[in-house]
Amino acid sequence: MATMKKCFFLLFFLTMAVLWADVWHVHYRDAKAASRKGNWLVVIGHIEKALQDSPQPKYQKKTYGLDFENYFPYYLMGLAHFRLEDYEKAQAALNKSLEFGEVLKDAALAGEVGRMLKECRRLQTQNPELEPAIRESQENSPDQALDKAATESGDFPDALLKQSPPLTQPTPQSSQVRDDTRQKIVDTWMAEAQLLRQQRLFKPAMEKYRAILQLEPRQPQARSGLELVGMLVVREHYRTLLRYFFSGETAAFAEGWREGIAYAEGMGQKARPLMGEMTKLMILSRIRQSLYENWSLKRESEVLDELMSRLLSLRVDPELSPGYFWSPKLVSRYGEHLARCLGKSERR
Amino acid sequence: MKRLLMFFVMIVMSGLPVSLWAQEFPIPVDDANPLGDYTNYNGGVGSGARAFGMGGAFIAVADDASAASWNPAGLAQLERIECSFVTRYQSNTKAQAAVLNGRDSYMGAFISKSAGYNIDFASITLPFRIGNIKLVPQFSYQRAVNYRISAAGKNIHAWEYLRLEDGSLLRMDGIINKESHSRKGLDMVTFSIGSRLGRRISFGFSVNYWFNGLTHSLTSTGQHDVWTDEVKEGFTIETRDRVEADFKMTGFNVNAGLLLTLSEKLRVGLVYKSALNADIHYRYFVGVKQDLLLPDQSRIKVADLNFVDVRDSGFIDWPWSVGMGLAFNPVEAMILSADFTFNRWSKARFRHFANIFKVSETDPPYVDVPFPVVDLNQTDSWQARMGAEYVIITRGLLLPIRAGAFVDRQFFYDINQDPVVFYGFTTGFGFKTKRVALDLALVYQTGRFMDNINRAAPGALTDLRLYSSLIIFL
Repeated sequence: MATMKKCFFLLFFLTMAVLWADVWHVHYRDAKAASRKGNWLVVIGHIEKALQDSPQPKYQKKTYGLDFENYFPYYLMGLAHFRLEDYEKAQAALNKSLEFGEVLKDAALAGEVGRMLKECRRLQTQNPELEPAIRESQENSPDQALDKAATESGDFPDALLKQSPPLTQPTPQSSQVRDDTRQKIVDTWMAEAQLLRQQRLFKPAMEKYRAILQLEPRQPQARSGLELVGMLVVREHYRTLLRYFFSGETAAFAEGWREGIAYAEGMGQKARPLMGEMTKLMILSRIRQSLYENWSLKRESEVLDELMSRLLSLRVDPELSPGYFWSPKLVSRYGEHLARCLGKSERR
Repeated sequence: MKRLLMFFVMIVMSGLPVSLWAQEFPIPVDDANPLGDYTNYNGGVGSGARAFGMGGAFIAVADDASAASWNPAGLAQLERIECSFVTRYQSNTKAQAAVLNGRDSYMGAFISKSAGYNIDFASITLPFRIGNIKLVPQFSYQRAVNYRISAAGKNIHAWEYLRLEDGSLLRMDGIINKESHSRKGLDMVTFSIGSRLGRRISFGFSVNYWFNGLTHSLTSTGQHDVWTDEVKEGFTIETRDRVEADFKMTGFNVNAGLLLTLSEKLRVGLVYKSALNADIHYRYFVGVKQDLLLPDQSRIKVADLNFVDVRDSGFIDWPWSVGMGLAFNPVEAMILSADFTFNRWSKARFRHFANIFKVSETDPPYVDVPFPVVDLNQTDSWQARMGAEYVIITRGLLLPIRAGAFVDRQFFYDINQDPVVFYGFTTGFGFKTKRVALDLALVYQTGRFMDNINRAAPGALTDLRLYSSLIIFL
C-alpha cells in the first residue's frame, strides 16, 4: 500500500513536470528580468512562450489579482534580436510592434522603435541577400534621390526650359568674335550660376543656367546644373512642407503641397520619390485632422488603432514612387509626433 | 398557590434554554441574539473584503491572499509572497412584531440589537519553485463562525394564558429585559497548497483544523404579574435567570478546488469542502432566582437553584458543501462573477448530546426537546451570489470599486414549514499600490420569518457587516 502511494505521488509529480507551463505574464516578467541582465537569448525564449499563451499585446493587461502590466512582447523581442544583431528578425518584430500599436502611448519607446528600425535598415546592408531591396529603398529616399539626380544621365526635364525668361544679354556679331565671346560669356555665366547655387539662391541660378542654354542649347554642364537646381528646389518644397506639417500650419501646408507637387511633376521621373514623400505627408495631415475632429467620439485606443492601421497601410501611388516604402527616419518622427498629438488631445 | 408558582416557574423558564439550543444547530440563538450567526453558515465559505465586496462570488476569481478560503486552486495564480489580515465588524437588529405563540401566549413588539468585532482571516502565502514546477502554499487562520457578539433586548412585554388541570385559567403579564454576551467562535487553521497542470488547469488542496468554540452567557430579568381565577388580585414575581454555555470542538476536514481557464476572458471554479466530524466538549448551566413581591411590598424568596449544570462530550457532523463559480472579464479592468454553493445541512447532526437535557430522571425539564438529534427537520441550504469589480487605473495607483448581491437559503424552516431565505447586497472599494492593497466591503443582509420553535418569533432581521482587508506584497 505504501509503495502504491509512493508510486502515485511520483506519477503525479512527473505528470505535473511534463504538463507544467507558466502563463504569459510569468514569461513576460522573466523576459524583462533577463533583458535587464542582457540575456537576450533568454528574453527571446520567454517571449516566444508568452506569445504562445497570449499573442495579443495590450496596454495595461491584467495579470492576476489587481496587477496590471503593459504587455509589449514584440517590442521586447525586437530589442532582443537587435542586440543580438539579427536585424532582419528585429525589423520584423519591431514592425509588428508598430502594427499592434504597442508603444504608441510612450513617446520615448516609439522613438526608440523608430531609431532601431532605422539602424536595422542601415546595418542590414551587410546582409547580401537583402542588398537589392535595401539599395532600392536607399535610392528612393529623398537625399539619395537627389544625389542620384545630380550624377545620373537621363531625360532632361523640358519643363525647366519652358520656364525660361527671354534672354536679355547682348548677342555677339561676327562668327569668330561670337565664338570667342560666347565661350567667355558661357564660362562667366556658368561660374555665376554655380556661385548662386552654392549660395542657395536657386531662382537666379536657374535663370543663369537657362540663359546659357539659350546661347548654347546642348551645353551639358548647364543642363545638369539646371536639373540639379530643379531637384534642390523640389527638396526645398519638401522641407517647407515638413516644417508646415510639424508646426500644424494646415492652410500653408495645403498651399505648399499643391505648389510642390506641381513643380515636382515638371521635374519628371527623378522627382518621383520626393513627390511620394509629399503625398504621404498630405495623407498624414488628413489623418491628423480626423484625429482632432473625431477625438471626442472615440475611445483613445480605437483612435490609436485606426491611426496606426492607416499609417501602416499607407501606400503611395506606384506611379508616383515605384517600390517606395517608409524611411526609418520618417517612421520615427511620425511616431514621436503622433504621441505628442495624443498628449495634447488628452490634455484638452 | 404552590402549584401555581410551580407552573409559573416552568412557564417563565421554559423558553430560554430551549431556544438557546434547540433549533439553530449548533449555535445558540436566543431572543436577545436573534440572528446569531446564521449569516456565517453559508456566507462563511471564504473571507476577504475584496471577495465580499463582489457579493462573495469569488470561487472562479480567487486570485488574492484570501484565495484558499474560497478555492484553494486559486493559489496557483499568486506570484509574490503575500500577507493578509482581514477584520470584520458585525451589527444586527431584530425588529419583532407582536406575536401570538399558539393561542395562549403573547410577546410584545420589541427591537433587540447586537454587535461585535473580530479578526476574520489572516494568512501568509509563500510561492516557490521546484525545478520548473511552481507550488504555492499558504498558512492561514479563519474564523468560520463568529460568536463574538453582545446583544440586548429591553422592556419586552409578554403575557400568557395557561389552562390548568382543574379548568381554571392562569394569566401572566410582565416585562422582560435580556442581555447576552458571547465570545470566541469556530476557528480554523489551514494549510493549503495550489499548483497548475498546464496553462489552463489549476488545482489546490486545503487541510483545515477546526478548534475553539463558544462561551455564552445570558441574563434575563423580569417582573411578572400573575393571577388566576382563584386569586383575583394576583401578585408579582421577580425573576432573574442566568444561562451559561461553554462549548469547544476540534476536528479536521479538507477542501479541494479546481480552476479552469477556458479563455483569457472566462474561468470556471469548482470547490468541494468535506464533512467535518468534530469532537465537542461542553458545559451547560442554567440558574434561576425568583422572588415573590407581595402587595405590601414585602419580598419572599421562591427559588434559588442551579437548574441545569452538566459537563459532557459528544460529536458534531458538520455538513459537506460544493460550490461552482464563473468569472468573466469583458474588458481588462472588469470582472463579472457568479457563484453557487450547496451545503448538505440536512445531514448535520449532534450525537451523544442528550445528557444536557436529562438533569433528573424523575423531573426532566424539557421533555419535548428533540435531542439527541438536534433537528431532523433541517433542510439543505444553498447560496447564489453574483458580483462585479471595476478597477480605475491611475498613475501608480489602482482604485477598485465593487458591487454584488446574493440569495441565501437557510437550513431551517419557518413556522409554516417553508424554507427561510435571506437576501443581501454588498458594495466595496479599495486601493492598491505596488506593495499594499487595502479594501473595504459592506454587506447588508435581511430576512423575514416566523420561528417555528422559539416563543419569540422574529419579524424582520437585518445584518450589517463591514470587512476590511490589508494585503502586503513582499
